[in-house]
Amino acid sequence: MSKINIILVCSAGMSTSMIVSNMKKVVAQKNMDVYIEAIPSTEAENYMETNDVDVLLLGPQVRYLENRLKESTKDTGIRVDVINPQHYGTLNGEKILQQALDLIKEK
Amino acid sequence: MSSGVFDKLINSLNKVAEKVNSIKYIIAIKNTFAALLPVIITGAFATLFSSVIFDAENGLAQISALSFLEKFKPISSTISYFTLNFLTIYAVFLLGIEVAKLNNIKGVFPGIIAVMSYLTVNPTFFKLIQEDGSSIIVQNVLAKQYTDTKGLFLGIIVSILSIELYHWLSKQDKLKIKLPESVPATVSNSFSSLIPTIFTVAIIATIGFAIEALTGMYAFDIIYSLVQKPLEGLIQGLPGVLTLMLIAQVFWVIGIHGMQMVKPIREPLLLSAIAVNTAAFEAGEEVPNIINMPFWDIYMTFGGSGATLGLLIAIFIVGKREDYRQIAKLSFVPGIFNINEPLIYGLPIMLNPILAIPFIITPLVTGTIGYFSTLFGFAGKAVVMVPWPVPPVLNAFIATAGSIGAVITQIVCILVSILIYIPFVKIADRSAREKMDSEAA
Repeated sequence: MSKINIILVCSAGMSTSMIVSNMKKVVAQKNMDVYIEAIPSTEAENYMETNDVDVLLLGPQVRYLENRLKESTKDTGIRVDVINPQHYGTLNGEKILQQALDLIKEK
Repeated sequence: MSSGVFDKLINSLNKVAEKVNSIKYIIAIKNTFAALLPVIITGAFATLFSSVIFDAENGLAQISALSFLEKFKPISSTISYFTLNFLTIYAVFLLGIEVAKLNNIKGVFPGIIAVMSYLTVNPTFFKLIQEDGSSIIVQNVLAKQYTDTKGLFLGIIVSILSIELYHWLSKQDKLKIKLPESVPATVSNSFSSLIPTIFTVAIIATIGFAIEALTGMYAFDIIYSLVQKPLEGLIQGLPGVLTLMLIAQVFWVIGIHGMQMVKPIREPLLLSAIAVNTAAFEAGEEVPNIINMPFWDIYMTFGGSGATLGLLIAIFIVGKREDYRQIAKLSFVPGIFNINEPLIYGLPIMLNPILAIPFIITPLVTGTIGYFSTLFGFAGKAVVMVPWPVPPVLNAFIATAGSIGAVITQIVCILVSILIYIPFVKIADRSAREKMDSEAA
């Protein structure tokens, strides 16, 4: 399987960056080929134009962006979903990583 | 309230959030002010440098061996001037690019169209009133009011208008210059923006001229006195800012980023309020605005939205629920940097009728305390912008350029927030116990 690129989007990219570091720990443990980055919502669309992205996960606090981003990415194959609030609140890197990987499998 | 009504309310708030955040101009304005922040903070740094080092009365330069430092003050003054007193120009430029981007026009050129258009509606002379009451006209100047935050709302309007006009004109086939096919595409593309640009600037300049010719007032005077000043009065006053906070908190309770909801109004008004304060402080004038962006951060969102530093400490003091204590431990370090998503989604506060009450009330109470403490002169007014993740105490100290009164007021606000949260943490404990008991029975 080729490298998987996941981006997490929240308002300023601050709270998601804590989740990203937890997810990276899981990735390192399981020795997976996954790249993860936290992006502020204002830069998400720019980022996707210039970088490879497979999955975009939204923080629950910016879930109002879901429809717009799904619309703008519908021809790109990028999967868009909102992170489960409970997993988000407990900074559960493993569950959120699983959510991203499940989205790719659905493809 | 029955759960059906409650669900409907949540549903409609969700819809409002999606609607508001899909309005093109709201997205553009939010992106613009996010991009402007480094400009405001550069001005803040220059001003702090000015007062702490170069100032002969309060800074290092008061030490006689270091008095030569005062000579360098123009360096920081000029930075402060061209960041804060030029904010409207940068805002117009960035907004032009953002609006164009949302219309699928790429590049930075639309920023220049927006700036050109904005400048054409303002006069290039200044009426200087002399001490004896007579006045002279100074030609070839752009007065400060057109570049500092007073022009912000006119700037926003002209920027949006000019780019929409440019976008519309670009789509008109009749206006396209047709070149033979042998001309390379890049060459013919360079012509394609030419006519829309000329027309856009000409039309906006004509509108500006017509307004002045018909009313005797410049567009600036009209927009400033009819739109911007009343809005400033509203949001930079206590009831206005508390209402804004209330709206933000209600959205947070349903799990939506409340600050994102109020930003389109909050950023232009509160960021310009702090820019005005910084410029006044740098110039050695009376600092005008009590309510501004750092005021919001210092007195109303310590620990994150809902002043949850108080909730964290309340859980550590009286909380018995193991799940609460776990989340509180997890949230402590982010909480110091005013990040509280773990609390909002982990405890959760979201859709939690017990914790939602103090979550909404606390910032309103602490904001009121901060306001009156500043009004009575105990706490100094904020004079420089501090980014929101700067921890409490430190943010109050820096933002007010070292007002101990502000630091004490903030600590009082934190204590008050703990007291407000404590009974609700106890109720949450009790309801969890009762639930466990009933499940066991």
